[in-house]
Amino acid sequence: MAKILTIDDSLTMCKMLEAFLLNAGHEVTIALGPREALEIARTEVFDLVLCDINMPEMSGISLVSKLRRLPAFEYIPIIMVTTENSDYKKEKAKTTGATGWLQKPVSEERLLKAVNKLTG
Amino acid sequence: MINDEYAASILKSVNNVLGMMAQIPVVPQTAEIKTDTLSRGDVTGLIKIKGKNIQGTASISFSREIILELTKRMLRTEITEIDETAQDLAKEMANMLIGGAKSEMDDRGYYADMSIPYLSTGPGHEIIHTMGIRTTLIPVTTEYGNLWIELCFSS
Repeated sequence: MAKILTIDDSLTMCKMLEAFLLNAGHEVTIALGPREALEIARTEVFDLVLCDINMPEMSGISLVSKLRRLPAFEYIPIIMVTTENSDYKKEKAKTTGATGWLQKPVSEERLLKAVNKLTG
Repeated sequence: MINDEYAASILKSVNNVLGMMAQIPVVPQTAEIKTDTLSRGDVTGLIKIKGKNIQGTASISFSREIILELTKRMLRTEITEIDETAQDLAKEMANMLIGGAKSEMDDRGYYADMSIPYLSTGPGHEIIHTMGIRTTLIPVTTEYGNLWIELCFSS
């Protein structure tokens, strides 16, 4: 079981990901946007982060950069979950510190395969 | 016409997303030119797209029946009216459906950035696309209600 932080400005997407992860026995914390994610990240420790890119307060890529500066988030896997799929954005995310990439829509099978691969 | 190219990509995306996430088969109807600003649906998500060689807006409008069915199937939540949950789902569906099409268009050389989805709701609400550009309307029917794709692009 892994402790997972899910960041998306859409409650719909957070709830869908949460349902898939809870079914597999993982523990899930939801952050409805970058600001809430940073608040949570300053006080809690996670095994993995799922992060949207296209959010109103700041982009998911900028958020990854900020998270990576926090000691507890320096090395944990961060998977971008987004409708984007361009090589340019993927490279930018990777350079910033993202570990993986899942394009929406995400099926339960694809999500759990990626999570299990990165959390052992 | 750039709207026609986008139409093929977005219909593929609609089929993929509704099939994968809600197991709902879709039937696209004949596209037409839209000459008014009234939404055909009850709730709409609109996204602005801007790149070097493409710009415009795309929207997806959902009938009350289909958005309630999608809420039931995707969020396991039964509701009877378009509340905040259904509105948030409409925005995220627009994001996934239009985002899927945009990814395919990126690969065809129309690389662009997309905005967050903007929501409009209520019977007869307006959808405001870019002035002066032809808007293509594509109705899509399902067993559980309809949705309407609107595309307004220039290249």
